[in-house]
Amino acid sequence: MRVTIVALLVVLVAAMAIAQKPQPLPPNAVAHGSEKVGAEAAHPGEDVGGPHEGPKFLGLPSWIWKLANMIAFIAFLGWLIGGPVKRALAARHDEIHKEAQEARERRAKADQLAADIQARLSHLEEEVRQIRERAKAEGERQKQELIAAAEAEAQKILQSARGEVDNRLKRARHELTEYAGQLASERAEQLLREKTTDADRQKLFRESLHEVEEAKS
Amino acid sequence: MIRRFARPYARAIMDVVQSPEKANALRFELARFDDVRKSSTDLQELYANPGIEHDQKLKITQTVAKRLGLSDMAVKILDVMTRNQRMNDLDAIVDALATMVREALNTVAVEVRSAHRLNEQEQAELRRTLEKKVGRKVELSITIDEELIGGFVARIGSEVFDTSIVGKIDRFRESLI
Repeated sequence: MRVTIVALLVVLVAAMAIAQKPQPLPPNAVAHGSEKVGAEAAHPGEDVGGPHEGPKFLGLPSWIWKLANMIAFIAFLGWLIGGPVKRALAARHDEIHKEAQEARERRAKADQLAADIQARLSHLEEEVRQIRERAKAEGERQKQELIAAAEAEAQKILQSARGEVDNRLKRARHELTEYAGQLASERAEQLLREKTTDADRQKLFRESLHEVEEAKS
Repeated sequence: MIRRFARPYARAIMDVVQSPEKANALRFELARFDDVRKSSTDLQELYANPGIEHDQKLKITQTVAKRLGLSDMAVKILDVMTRNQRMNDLDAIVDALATMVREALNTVAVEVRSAHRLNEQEQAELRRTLEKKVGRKVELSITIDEELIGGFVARIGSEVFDTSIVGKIDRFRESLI
């Protein structure tokens, strides 16, 4: 199809070129001076001298060919750039459509945000009241925890102090017992050294023999 | 514990006398001589000095032995030890000999510290009691320790029987700690 159109255009252009070719005029074909004035006077209203009609091709005046040529050119031009322009326009259309869609979405978001802000603003007092209540409750809870921790710490210190007192008492009792035992044993040893007689030693020897017999080896 | 150098001497003495009882008697003779040596610094220096002639040392040894009433065998053993420069190690050799004699006689050494001097009857009772306790003959070595106040302390190897008054007081004191 395109090949046919191109061929037709080539033919038209060639035809135009031929049609445009100027026709050689016969010598003295143009009236001049007094001839021209005489002719006009003899044949008023007639064209005097020179060519009267434009050039023709295939019996048709050249302006028709020119018009056809222009139409063909415009058609060709339209055919040639129609596709890309159409595509560009379609792409631009899509782009504009997309941007419009995005703009609508942004607008919707902005509207939503505005609505949220509006809603929050409207609930601001309620939120402030709730925050205040929560802060109060939190403060109360922390206060109770601090009191409980302090009580536990006090209890711990008290127990520790009691334990320390008990330990010191035990230690003192132990030291006292040890000291008393030491004194008693020293005194006993001293008395035994002073009072033990040979008879006692012999008796102790026999008792010792008995102890050795009874002892587990 | 027998010291290494003392074992051959003790073994040789056991072999020469051919009887544990005789070896035991010889041991006491050597121990008597060693007590004298230990108590005399001059004798210790004499035996330690290699510059003094062996004959001189032997003469002095024989004189001391004669005074102590030692047998010829004991003197011969002392002579050998003098030649070998072992007189100042006599106590270790006597200990080794004592260990071998005890093994041969199946006896055990018992060191006893007593608060008073034991008469023969008490020593016999003590010996009998300890032999019954350990199931072997015992060789008593008794020393006096008046600090014990009463009773005695008997050491048999690593085992100690402490029946002394001081020991009882100490145990009472420890029970309070």
